[in-house]
Amino acid sequence: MLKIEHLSYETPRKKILDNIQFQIEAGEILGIIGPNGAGKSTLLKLLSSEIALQTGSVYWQNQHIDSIAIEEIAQSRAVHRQHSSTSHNFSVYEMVMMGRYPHFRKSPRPIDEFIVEQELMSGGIAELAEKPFKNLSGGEQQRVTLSRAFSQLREEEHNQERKLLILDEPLNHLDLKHVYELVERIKSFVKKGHIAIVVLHDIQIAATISDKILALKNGKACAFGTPRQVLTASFMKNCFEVNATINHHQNNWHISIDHH
Amino acid sequence: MIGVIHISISDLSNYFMHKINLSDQHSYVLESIRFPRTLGAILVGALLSLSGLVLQAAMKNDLAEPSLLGVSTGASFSTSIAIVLVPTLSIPFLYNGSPIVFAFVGSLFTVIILSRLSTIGYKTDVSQLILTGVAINALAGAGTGLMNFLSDDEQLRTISFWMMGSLSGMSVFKLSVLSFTLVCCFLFFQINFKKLNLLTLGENEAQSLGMNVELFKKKIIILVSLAVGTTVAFCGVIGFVGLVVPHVSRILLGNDHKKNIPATVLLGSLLLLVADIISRVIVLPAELPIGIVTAMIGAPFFIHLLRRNQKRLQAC
Repeated sequence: MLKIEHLSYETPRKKILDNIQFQIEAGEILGIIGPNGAGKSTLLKLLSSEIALQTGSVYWQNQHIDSIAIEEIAQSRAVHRQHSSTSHNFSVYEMVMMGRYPHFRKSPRPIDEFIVEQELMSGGIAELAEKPFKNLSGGEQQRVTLSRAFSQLREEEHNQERKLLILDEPLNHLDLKHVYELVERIKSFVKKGHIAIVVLHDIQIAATISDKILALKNGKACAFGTPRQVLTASFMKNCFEVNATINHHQNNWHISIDHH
Repeated sequence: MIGVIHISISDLSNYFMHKINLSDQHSYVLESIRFPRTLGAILVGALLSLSGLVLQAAMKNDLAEPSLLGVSTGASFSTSIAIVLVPTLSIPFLYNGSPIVFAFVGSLFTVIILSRLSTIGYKTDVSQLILTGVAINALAGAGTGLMNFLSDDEQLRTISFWMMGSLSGMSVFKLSVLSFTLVCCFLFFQINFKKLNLLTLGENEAQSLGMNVELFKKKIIILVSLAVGTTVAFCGVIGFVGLVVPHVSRILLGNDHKKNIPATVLLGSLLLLVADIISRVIVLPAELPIGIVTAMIGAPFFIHLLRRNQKRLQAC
């Protein structure tokens, strides 16, 4: 369970987040949406301990996130950022293996090698394993860093603890086939009782994959709930300042913007 | 063996097997000059190469190298202060130990400035890093020039000889300090090879993957400063080794620091050993500054490897 209480963040010039509160249960996907400059990235940075908490608290499995050691939390929380690079041209296999670093001391165990090979296959990059990372296309690099995040959180038989996957715009650079595959990968990940938090610009995909949606605007939570509760025409007008027509049948969403 | 005074290989092997006693002159040359110097070359080459490898990972930059970034120049400036100004204080204890302490403080100070000024947000900015290195090199160079100006004849000779970079004058004390530093650095970095790999991804990624970045960077700063400080205090500025050797190692063995740390130590030792032998024999009976030799060996080889690497990457 992930619980956020009274989370605020400000710089000397601007209040970036203002009193954000929500709770995500095991097995749920939280989609975070909002216009540019809404505070989505800052919220992710706080959740991933990239910047220190100022006001408010973040609890992961009923423990304050600051009280968990960096080495320990890396075994149950993975962060995938929009831009990932390396100064050294590691191979694809080595890049994905880094996801297992929090789990072994000196050398990878057979289970780590097995998991990396599985994730390379799941990401459709097994044939690229020996290629240098920097020589790949943007979409291929994205699949490598996503596979690294999934390999970091892959559970082992004796260890069934809950995991938290944080993804910032994970669909960037991906073609349609790989977008679909990634969505399925995230869904099967949370089915095991884990939690995924995904920042998305594509509201239709956010509606399709999310169990809960958090909408941010000007640093405030303007809506939180299931996609059906949140995504209405009036919400689209208030949050994104567009007139939209929203249709959904079961879990198939169609959102079109009215230009008049 | 090689040098102004010729000692044949058969004499040398017999000497090692305790079959013959060499003349006093030959024994002195071997035991007091050539063995310490050979061991010094091995240790200094290993330390400089390892420092370059670690700086390149920590700064996330292929160009990072102690002399290029001004770390060696910073250490040499503070060593020249130790040679010129400290004796005026008339404290014998401070005078004896001051070059190494000053060199360590100088390199520590430089690495901290580099680390602070080249970081924008959570990233190391390449141009900022290089420009900071240029500024430190200029400032420390000017400071060393000032010390030259203030020095008397004897001090000037000491500074000039030391600044050219030389492995001569290795004593048991110097070899002990260099050995201790190398063992500390090698063990620490070999144990923490995963952290060096992670640093190449950037600080945020490294932290997400379980690394306490701030703590590790502080340890790097202290150990690299110790490594560069001791080599500069004892041998002056020997450039290029820290830049070339890690690249050669990476091209030969890939990017994983688990393999690169021992490989860099071995290759660095080898390069400086060969460079030292060449520097002693190429202009007999004189001796060429070793920095010239390392550049003459290293630069063409480096260009060759870069060309080969370029072709390999284009073919992928």
